[in-house]
Amino acid sequence: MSTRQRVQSRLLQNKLAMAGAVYLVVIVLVAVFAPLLAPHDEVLATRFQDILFEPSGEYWLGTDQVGRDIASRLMFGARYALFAGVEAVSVALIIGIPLGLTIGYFRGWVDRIVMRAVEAVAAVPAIVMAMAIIAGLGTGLTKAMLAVGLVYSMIIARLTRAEVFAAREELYVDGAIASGASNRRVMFRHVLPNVAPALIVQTTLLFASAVLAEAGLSFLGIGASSNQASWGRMLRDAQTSIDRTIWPAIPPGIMVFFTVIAFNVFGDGLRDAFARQARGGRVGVGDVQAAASVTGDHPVRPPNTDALVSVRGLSVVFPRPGTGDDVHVVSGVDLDIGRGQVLALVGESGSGKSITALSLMGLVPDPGLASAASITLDGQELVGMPFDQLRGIRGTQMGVIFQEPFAALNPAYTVGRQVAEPLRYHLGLSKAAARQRVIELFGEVGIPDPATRIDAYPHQFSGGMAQRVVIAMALACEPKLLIADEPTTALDVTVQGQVLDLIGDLARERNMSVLLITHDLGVVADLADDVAVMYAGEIVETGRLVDVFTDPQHPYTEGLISAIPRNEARSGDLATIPGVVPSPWEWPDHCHFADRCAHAVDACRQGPVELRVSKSGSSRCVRLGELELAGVRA
Amino acid sequence: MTEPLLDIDGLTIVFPGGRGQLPWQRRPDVRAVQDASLTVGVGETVGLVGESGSGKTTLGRAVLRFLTPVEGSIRLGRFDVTSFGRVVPPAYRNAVQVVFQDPVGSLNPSMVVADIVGEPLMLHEGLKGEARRARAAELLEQVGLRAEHLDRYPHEFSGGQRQRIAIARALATSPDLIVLDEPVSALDVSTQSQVINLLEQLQRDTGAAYLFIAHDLAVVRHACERIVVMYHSRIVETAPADAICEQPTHPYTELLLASIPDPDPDVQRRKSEHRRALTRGVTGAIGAAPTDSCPFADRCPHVMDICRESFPDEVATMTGGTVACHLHTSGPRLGGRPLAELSGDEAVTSTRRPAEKEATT
Repeated sequence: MSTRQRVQSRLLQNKLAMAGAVYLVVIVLVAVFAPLLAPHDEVLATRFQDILFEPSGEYWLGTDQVGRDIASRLMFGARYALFAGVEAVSVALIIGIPLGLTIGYFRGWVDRIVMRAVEAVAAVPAIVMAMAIIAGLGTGLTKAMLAVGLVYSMIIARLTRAEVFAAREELYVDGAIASGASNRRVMFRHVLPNVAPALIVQTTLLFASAVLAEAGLSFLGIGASSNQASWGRMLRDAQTSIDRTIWPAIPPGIMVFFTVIAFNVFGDGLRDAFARQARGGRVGVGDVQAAASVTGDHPVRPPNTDALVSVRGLSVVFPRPGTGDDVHVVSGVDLDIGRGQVLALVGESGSGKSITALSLMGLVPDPGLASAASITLDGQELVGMPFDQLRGIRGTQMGVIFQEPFAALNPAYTVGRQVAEPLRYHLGLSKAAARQRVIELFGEVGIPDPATRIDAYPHQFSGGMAQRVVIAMALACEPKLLIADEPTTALDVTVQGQVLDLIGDLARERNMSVLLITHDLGVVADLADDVAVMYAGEIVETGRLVDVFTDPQHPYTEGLISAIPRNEARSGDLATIPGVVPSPWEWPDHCHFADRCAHAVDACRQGPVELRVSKSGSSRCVRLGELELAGVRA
Repeated sequence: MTEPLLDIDGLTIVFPGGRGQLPWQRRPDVRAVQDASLTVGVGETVGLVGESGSGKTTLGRAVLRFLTPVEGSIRLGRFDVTSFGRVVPPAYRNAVQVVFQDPVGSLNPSMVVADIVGEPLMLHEGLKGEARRARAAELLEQVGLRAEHLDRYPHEFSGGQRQRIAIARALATSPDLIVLDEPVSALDVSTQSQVINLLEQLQRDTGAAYLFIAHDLAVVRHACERIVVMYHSRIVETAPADAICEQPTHPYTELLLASIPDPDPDVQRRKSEHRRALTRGVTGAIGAAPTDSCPFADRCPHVMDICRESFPDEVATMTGGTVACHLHTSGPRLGGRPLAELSGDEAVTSTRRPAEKEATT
């Protein structure tokens, strides 16, 4: 599906925006066919004596102070409104886009000089600026809208420049320059199409402003002339008879109002449609539903009461992009994390490991739906728990570390304040006590000079130090479970080891369990006690670290192990797993890995494969026991 | 030795500091690359390794002529890159191509693959219409994709496939050199090896040389013949790939090697002990790179007084490379022999100070 189709389908689903679009189409049709549709003349009264008539069969909306039919004039007025909009916006685009592109792309002194001029123009109210320009050019609708267009061109130039600034930094722009594209080609082929959505939205909104500006200027008498039935002019005419009746002012007022609204809702709809993520529906997260209906045929093992965390039959369903059909991205996952143990959940991207961890916290990203037979944390059943209670448990008994430390920290607050927040919110500590505790925590996670560093902002930390802050935050409420999702992937390799050591030490000291999610088997070997290997939404192998890595029981585990680059001399091509993880809607009913597996036989494609007990754990392989698979010491 | 394809000599790149918080304040200049020299032979793959902020990407961008060095020279074949004016000769753009790390940001989302791969064909060979499309299809097949992919948009591909598209685009002009800036860092391990195998296959077919920029020494060892290690703006060691990974001569290279986690739990236990023994302090490189001392001095387990007084001269190593470290000319005077020779000397290797040990626990 192309971007255009995606935008179209989103726009069509937005009822308010479509209502605005339909209204605008009607206005355009009326404007075009006004001479045919209008029952009376635009300028001349039908009969001189018919002044200020109430609405009637002959005059649908009555007549004005000189006896002209208001309904007919409204129809002709649509022409002036559209003409005004098109003229002002065209002028704005023709001047604004090239100007904004040029200064945004080349920057430097041209940019500095032009921007000062743009700022000066923008500092004066548009209508005053337009009046000043009209004073020079003379009155008349065309000149008035030319003036308005000039003012708007500054808005467009500014927006284009800002968007180009951002687009200019994209790697594909560098790529185009490296392949020898001229500046003009880069600007018009690579930058402009990718800033177009913002410009299209702004253009639509400018139409609304232009219609309003036309009405305003015509009302003041410096826009449309007396023989042009613009809506603004009609308001001006209505004003002369305001002491007798207010009626003639109402229809043009309503037309201006609805036209401006229509442009605005359509513009907002476009903006939402262009947004990279769907905005519709609930924002946020859902908790885990009880799963009697989902687990279906295979019996659910009872939770392991010795483990700190025991997950049974966890499944997550997402609507498939485009079609909206339900697709399983995680299916029937059982996990046990022992007390004080580190369980590594490993797999390629797209295997469902991060979603599994989020579900465990009751944080399934919208629009996903998670269900499980049981998730217990320290004996408490989390499935079906009220949201507020679950939030309390999440805050105090679970801590989480993500890949990107800077994404987890708010740049606007000091790190000390951010680490103190859960202490004050969940544990009810006083400000001073929380501060003292944060200083201790910073010491524990190895941040030098903690008493001073707590008043620093995130940007004043290196990546490794920022990750220590995040770890301190995760540990603030003494959680029983730490969830670490790729905690060192974004860090330099020489810093990675230190952070892994820290997580390991903290887990041991506090007898805290860790769920480590990573694709790096080296990191797993460094930190984990147990391993669960995930492929295409399913657990395919579990066991103790040493057993799984030295004597894997599933071909996928073997593939991952052989593909990891190790510091040793090589011969021949590097080992790979052919192909890629298929998209969730392409997962077969039989063994998910069969199509990439070097050991696959017909039996592998006969039907679903259950997780079976292996000699050191469990494996979801049809040929379990038949295969000699290579581990890390092969 | 035959004439190298790419010859970088004494390259220094400085980013001006720009304005500070107040109009009259200026932030200090950032010396991203200092006095760096390296060569890449015809059809050779040279790995450029370092952590974030080491200057490796900046050096690559200088080769692509995205920025101008303040000192030093870059020559590629008959081109003197540093003498180019505002307009870079099209022939140079033909000769040097690039593949970036980020497979999401490096392809224009509003163009179909036929146009992405076809753009350099149009710009350099003037190919149009069907001829261009046919050549683009050939390139796609060369990187393991199919002609049917021509009309798709980048977002319809997986990370590995997108990287293949970026490689096809880079190959379009039959370049002499491709700058590979972290080409596999964003990919899964299984896909990483697929892309490295592909790059090697293409090198055998086309004879292009690669400047392979990466942070993972193990990946680079598998992909490259020679490795250049950068730390905080300086090139600290160069050597043939196997030599540098077996017998490092610079303490930073040694730390880097000890930091690559191994999937064998027993090996990893030994490695992390070794790494802890080599680690001083709790941070990576921070702040501006020093101009007149070794930038690694604050983290180096072997640090000597002289390390804070001057940046060491380059010394030839026994393995056929170079190293810039005072250990080779002062103190133990290794004179190009591997660092392992120091390991008998307990006092030198375990300089982990008790005060810092407390800070980390």
